[in-house]
Amino acid sequence: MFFYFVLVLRILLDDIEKAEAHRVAQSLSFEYPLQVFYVDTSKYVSPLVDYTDWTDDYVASYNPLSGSAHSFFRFSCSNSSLNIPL
Amino acid sequence: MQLVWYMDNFLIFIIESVMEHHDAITGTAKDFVNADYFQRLQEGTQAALQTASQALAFLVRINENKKTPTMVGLDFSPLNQTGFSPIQSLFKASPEDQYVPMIIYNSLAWERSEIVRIEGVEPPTNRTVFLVLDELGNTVPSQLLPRGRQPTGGGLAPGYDLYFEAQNIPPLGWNTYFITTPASSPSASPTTTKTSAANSLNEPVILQNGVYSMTLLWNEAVGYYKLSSVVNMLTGKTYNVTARLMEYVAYMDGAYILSTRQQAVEVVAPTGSTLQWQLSQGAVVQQFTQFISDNITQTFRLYNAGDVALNGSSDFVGRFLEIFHSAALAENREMILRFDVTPDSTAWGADLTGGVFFSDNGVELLHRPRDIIRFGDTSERNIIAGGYYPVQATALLRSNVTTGGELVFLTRQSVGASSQLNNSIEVLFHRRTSYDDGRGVGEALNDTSRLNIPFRYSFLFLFGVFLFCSCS
Repeated sequence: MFFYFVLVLRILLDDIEKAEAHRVAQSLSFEYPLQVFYVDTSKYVSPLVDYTDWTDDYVASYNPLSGSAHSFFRFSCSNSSLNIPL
Repeated sequence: MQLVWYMDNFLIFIIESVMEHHDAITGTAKDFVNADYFQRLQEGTQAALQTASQALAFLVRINENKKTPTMVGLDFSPLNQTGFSPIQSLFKASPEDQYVPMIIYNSLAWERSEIVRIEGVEPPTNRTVFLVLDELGNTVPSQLLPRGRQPTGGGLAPGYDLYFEAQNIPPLGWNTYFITTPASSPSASPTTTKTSAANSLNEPVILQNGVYSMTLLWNEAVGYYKLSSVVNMLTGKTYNVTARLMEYVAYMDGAYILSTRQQAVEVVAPTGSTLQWQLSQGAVVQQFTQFISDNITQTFRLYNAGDVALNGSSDFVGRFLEIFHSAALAENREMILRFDVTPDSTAWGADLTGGVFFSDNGVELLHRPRDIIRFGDTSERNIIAGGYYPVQATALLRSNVTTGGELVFLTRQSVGASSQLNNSIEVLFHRRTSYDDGRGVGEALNDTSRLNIPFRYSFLFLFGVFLFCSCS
């Protein structure tokens, strides 16, 4: 019985913590929206006529948590050639 | 280059230090000082944004032999009062069939899927649609919304707002999207736009996604539409929620003191005027805008991607009703938005005295009591003012019934919030008074500016969908 109550209490506390975490996530996402940067193609070396022009030359997606090997498998570049400090 | 970056970061560091002065936090300073605060903050923000742009431009190069692109960070914050969107001229100047890379950076520590809004875009001549592709070339849902008639002094750029879904942006990482303006695009879903000229006023306005169905009804007494009910599509429960735009009449109060002459009264459209409104519905967003008067515009926005909200992302934008106000006040008016939940036995709970009110102090949510008499003063205006609490990020109204749920309010900037009535929550977001309250400013809080301020509301359910989602 004791362990049952401890378990129930633990689940309730866990849910309260998750609820608070959700509120924090929600307010932070509102306060800090995704930041948009655009590339001024008028100053680019040559006009981009296809999106592959960019993905061949630049890192189009980067996930610092999963690591570069996972992040860049879709691109024709090797991990060692990346300009990103890891 | 590194020295320039250092100087820019040093600039925002200095400005943030100034902003920590107590008058900068509360706005209890003379007008010219407040104007100086805003100018400095904008200068610092722009400098930091420029530094971030240049740093990101270096990071996206595969190796040092590649040319560093010219990258520009877009600032759609209220601080940016210029109303100028550089991307507008970019698309006008760009040759047709050209792709513009847009890098979406996530500054938070968890993966996010959100709707990105790019304000003030305009397609080049002979092109009417924008197409958004992800880095693999797949088309992502996007939508172009006309900005509509802006009221006098709105300060918004002409053109359109482009919305698209940015999905699975890694924490502290980025994804690239490409925007192009093709001659024809069968995959781009059209936006249906209705205006007040084409429809009768009595027709209800319904905004619906996978989470909510919200109904706005025409109200003859005030002369515009009001939110009247919210259906949780996941539980099927209907909440009778009314959103009322109201004003307090100031009673010789100022920057420090809130003192009102009477209870708040609803804002009424000018007598004899015909309400102008615009309803736009498309693949990404549904938006209803009503121009209540020359000085007040109210926009309800619901993002369509409700199904994605169930994929474990608790902060997904589909779970929120976004309400945007653009308002300038008459003399001695203090504007609020009040939500009233009608008690019932099926959804919110039948307790007529219910509704527990919480607001945050920047660290945690605190229970805030209602109808408090402070300093033995039982006058109405002191009870009203005594029930107001600061909100940094969030406030909520919780049902007395465990299955009733919560009405959660989110804000990007500090405001005042209160629960003056049972089952009611209100937010005070704009003040203009013609008196000095004698606490040292020496000036009236005569804020004649037009405030553009977004809020988010969600209708969560503590022991229902909410916990189910939190465990996913």
